Amino acid sequence: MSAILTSPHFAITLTLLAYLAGHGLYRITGKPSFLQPVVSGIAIVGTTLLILDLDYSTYMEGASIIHFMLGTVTVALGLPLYQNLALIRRHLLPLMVTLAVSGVVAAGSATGLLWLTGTDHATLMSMATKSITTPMAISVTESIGGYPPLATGFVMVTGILVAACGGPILRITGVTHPAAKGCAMGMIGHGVGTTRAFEMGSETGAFSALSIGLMGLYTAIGLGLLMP
Amino acid sequence: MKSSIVAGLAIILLFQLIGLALEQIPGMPLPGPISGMILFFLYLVITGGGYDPERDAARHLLIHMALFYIPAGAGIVTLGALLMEQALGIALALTLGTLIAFVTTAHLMQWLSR
Repeated sequence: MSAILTSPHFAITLTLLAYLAGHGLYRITGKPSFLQPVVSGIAIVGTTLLILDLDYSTYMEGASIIHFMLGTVTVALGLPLYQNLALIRRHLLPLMVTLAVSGVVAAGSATGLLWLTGTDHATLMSMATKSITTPMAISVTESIGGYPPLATGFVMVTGILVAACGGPILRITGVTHPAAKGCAMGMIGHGVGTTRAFEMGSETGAFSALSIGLMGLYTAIGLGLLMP
Repeated sequence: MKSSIVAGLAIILLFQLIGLALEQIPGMPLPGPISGMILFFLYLVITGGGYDPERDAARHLLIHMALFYIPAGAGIVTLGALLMEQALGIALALTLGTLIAFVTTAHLMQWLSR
């Protein structure tokens, strides 16, 4: 039995089933942002490992082919960036200035607050990527000495917070411009925030979508240069 | 599986491979997949959007993007003690940090787009 449970077959099948179950749950519950398919998928895999008393490293070894494809997905993110190129060029200056400030504030405020309360280097590095899309966050956090699982968790919580509270915060603080709303949702809340941004309007959604790739690249380059 | 999907996947994997090769250069600040993404983006710009196989392959990968971070994310089961120990700092960074960055971004972009 244990030979089966420690085999790649088990790890890969478990991952696919957990993803499908997470997807199904997200759909039948009416797509609430806190029930992101990946959140329930991770919860299902994590719980299964705990119940069956399986080693995470054994599971990860078995599922390494799926983890490998994460790099492939990151490369594929070049496509949406290209598709948004026309919109980026039309608003180049405001976008670049906002991006320059936003990236520093997003990574700086989170790591600064965490540092003030006392922490270790790896946790700090995992926090630095909290506003960029998960595949990029995992690549970046791996290369600057953070923990990918922790980075994934921080990215998810950040995205869910932005999706859930972004709308009311924009209203209360008087932000009405679609480009401004979209940039805030996408630069800070990545893909999860973008799903919500499209519900606010197509222009808001488009700005949010283009913000994902820009923020990811900017943070990756910035952290790569700062933390060699 | 249509052969064009395989061709598209091969093209994307090729960019991932070039990214990995670039990562080996000493002093390279970017992880391989990110360099690969930049190169794939430049390829799309140069070819005026690339061709159907790689666009289809990329779209399929992106639709199911969340599947691919389950293995890394599940590692959270090994980090319970760390999360407990730093619960306050992590909660503060995620909530207050996100609020500060969100409000700054929205207002700066609104001001610049007047």
